[in-house]
Amino acid sequence: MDNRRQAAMLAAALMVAGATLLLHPGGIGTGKLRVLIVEETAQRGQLPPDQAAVFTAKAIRDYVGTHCVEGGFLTLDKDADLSKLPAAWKPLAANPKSLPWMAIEVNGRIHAGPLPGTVEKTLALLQRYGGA
Amino acid sequence: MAELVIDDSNYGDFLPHKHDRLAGCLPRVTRYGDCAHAVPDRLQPIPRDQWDARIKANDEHGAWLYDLAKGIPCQDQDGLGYCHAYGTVMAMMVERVVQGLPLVLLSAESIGGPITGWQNQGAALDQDLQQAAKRGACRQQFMDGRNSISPSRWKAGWETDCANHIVTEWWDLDSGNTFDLAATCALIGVPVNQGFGWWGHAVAGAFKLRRGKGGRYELMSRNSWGKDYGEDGFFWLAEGKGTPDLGLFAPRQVTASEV
Repeated sequence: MDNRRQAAMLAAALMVAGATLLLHPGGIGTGKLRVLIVEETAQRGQLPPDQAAVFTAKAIRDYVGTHCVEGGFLTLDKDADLSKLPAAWKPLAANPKSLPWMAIEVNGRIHAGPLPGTVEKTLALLQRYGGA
Repeated sequence: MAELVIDDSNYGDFLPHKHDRLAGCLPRVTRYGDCAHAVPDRLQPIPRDQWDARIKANDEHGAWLYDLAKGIPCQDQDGLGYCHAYGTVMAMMVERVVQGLPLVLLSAESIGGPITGWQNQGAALDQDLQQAAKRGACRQQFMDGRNSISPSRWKAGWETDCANHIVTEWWDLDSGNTFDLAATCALIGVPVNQGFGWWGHAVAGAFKLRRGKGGRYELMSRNSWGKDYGEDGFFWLAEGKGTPDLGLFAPRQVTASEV
């Protein structure tokens, strides 16, 4: 599959998901993911049970453990001191429009949007970018 | 050892002297809401009529803190009365794993030592959290041996290493209704350090919530009395004796400086 076709398919998938696509020129370029979830931790108890489970669910942990760059999964409180984050994380942490928010980077592209409402939907979204 | 449940009927069998152990959890030294670095009133308890649905969701998804924390080696304070610090660093280690940070084994002695003048004695949990927020905890590899409270023998640089593991936000959950708040922490995956007056002891929690005998709720905690206690340190405290009354604190963010 050529690059233009890949890009068109990705854009179509993102339109379906109502997602935001940004190009990040300083991408990691490994084909593996970097995933950041930003939340207000005090509000986790107000999330629906199936969404609250995303933060610690085994299926998510297993997936990011095998499909992320080393150390490439992070959850942060919205009030966390981002100045101490390495530069690679900063584009993902920028401007969450709602909480909880998830940003996924692969090959320099960042998909960012609201955290899906269930473990299954979150896993499906991760697989869309990182493969099965 | 088989599953261990401590409740109002059997707690006398588990007091520290029955296990040749020291306990060292003292009443808090600061008033609720008056503690440097702490955030009070941060968490609203989840209503009990929602607990069973959330227990079911966490069971289905393997989403309990227990599922993440069982990969962390059980700690053993041995003859040291530093349960207050062992509970604090266990909660910090679990929180780091929840955040996605690498597992590091933190030294309870690097927290408990400075607040006790490096004496083998108890302390209050809010003192430990303040130390963790102000100076942090170093990795165990800097110590000259297990349970050492002789920092002059530790490897150079341990104090600098403490700065890599600082609690930048922690919740003071000691507002009353502490069983429900600890249960809420279990349901949403927030590790805590908690103290119990009947025991004079502190242990890390809240790894799991379930309904036990008679429909009574039970919370899973982890002791620091070695891996032979309960199941690799994990055990259950039933509501009643499982209600923290010497402090309930949650380290909410631990520095991510090595990411």
